[in-house]
Amino acid sequence: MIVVLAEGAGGDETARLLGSGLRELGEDVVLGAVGTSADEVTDLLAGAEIERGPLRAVVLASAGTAATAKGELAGLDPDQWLERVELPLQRTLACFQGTHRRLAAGGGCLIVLVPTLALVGSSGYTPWATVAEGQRSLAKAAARAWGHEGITVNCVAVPGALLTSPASGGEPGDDGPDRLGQPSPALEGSPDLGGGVAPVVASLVSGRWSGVTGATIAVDAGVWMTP
Amino acid sequence: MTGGLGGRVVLVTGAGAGIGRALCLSCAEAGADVAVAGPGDNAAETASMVADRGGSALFVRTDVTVAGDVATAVATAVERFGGLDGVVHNATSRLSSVVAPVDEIQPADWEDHVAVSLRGAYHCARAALEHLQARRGRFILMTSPAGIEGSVALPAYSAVKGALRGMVKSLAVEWGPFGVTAVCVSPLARTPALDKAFIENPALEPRLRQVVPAGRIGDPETDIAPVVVFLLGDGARYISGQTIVVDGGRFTGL
Repeated sequence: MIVVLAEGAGGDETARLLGSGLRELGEDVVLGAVGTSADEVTDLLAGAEIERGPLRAVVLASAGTAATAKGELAGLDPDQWLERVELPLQRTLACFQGTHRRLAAGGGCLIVLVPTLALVGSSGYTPWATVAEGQRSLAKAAARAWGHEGITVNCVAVPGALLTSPASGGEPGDDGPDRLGQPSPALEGSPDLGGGVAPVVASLVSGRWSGVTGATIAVDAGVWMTP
Repeated sequence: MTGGLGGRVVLVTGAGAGIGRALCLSCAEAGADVAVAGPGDNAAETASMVADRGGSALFVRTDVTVAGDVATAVATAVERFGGLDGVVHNATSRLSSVVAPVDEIQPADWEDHVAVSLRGAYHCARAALEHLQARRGRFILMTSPAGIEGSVALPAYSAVKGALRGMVKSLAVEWGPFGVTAVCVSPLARTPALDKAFIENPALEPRLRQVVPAGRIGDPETDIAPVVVFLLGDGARYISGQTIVVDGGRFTGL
């Protein structure tokens, strides 16, 4: 069973679309809300296990939609800073701590979706990039710490639009005209959550990637090709 | 004094010891007027050390977690020296070297890491942008190898130092049109925090030396500060959005 976590649980479009894509691939998926406390996450995962069976993976699809809002860093007021940066990072820590408690005995996967804009920078999305790079760094730390328990921790980097307004294509994020000099995608078309990202997530939790941890896998049709 | 920073004004946070102190001494040596920002009396000592060496420094008592303190530090520097050309946010939590695996990170400790490193950077950005823009200035955030590779022992530190790298990459894009550059520096240097870690874990120092191709741990003043001085000077005006790794060749993965 895979639990997909987001700030808004079933109301979060990213989680819902990713969950649908995973179900189409035959995965048993539970959507849940991530709070700022590890206990909440642990309780949610424990409840899902009682209801649906062993936990194989947790996917953090969104640690806070506020982080994705466009706004220059120096223009944020303190409340906006808190909502867009500090709370999403706090939810991320809660997700990591709560997930580890449930996976420590039997192993499994923790996967974090991040926007590719965090890898390369994007004007107007500094708060989001700050959160995402914090998440990637925490993922590497956790990957190193939990590898001996059979737990892998990886990030999947996707175009920001998939995490803002996934059905409509959303705001430009990192793949629109506001990012001057953006390279053309190497592949035709662009990935969506169901058809492009879900198969990668499903593969990551399949056991075939047991030697990969602490990595960031970009699913962006070959736009950025970062090291 | 002339050494590349003559006529420039640089504000350094976390200036009471270690790399922060070395940065102040070296920037002043290079000719800058230095605003020495720190919460404790050791930052005042740094300012005195700069003065003793014939440099120009102003101590401003500053807790970077308090927006008003940072705003006052910037305003004081601008008033005293006539502008602001560079900010180096070096301050980091006092818990930076305290071992706490992911599961053991307590909410208050996480808050401290976030408050000093991240919120401090945000406060610096807000307070300084207008002045940096006026003089095509530099915004430098000190990160860490832990923020690039992750750290089992220091995951909270890893997270905030990694987050700073994300901040810099986007600020470089955001502030580039204003003529302001943003850069991270990832140093490996002998600091009070590292010394403390060596005392707690004596095996750490020889192990670290072994994995540094240069065969030694960097010195804040002679190995790290010269790079930061360069980044604050004319020669670095086309460098932005990067993490400059100053570690004797240990990390080669970028």
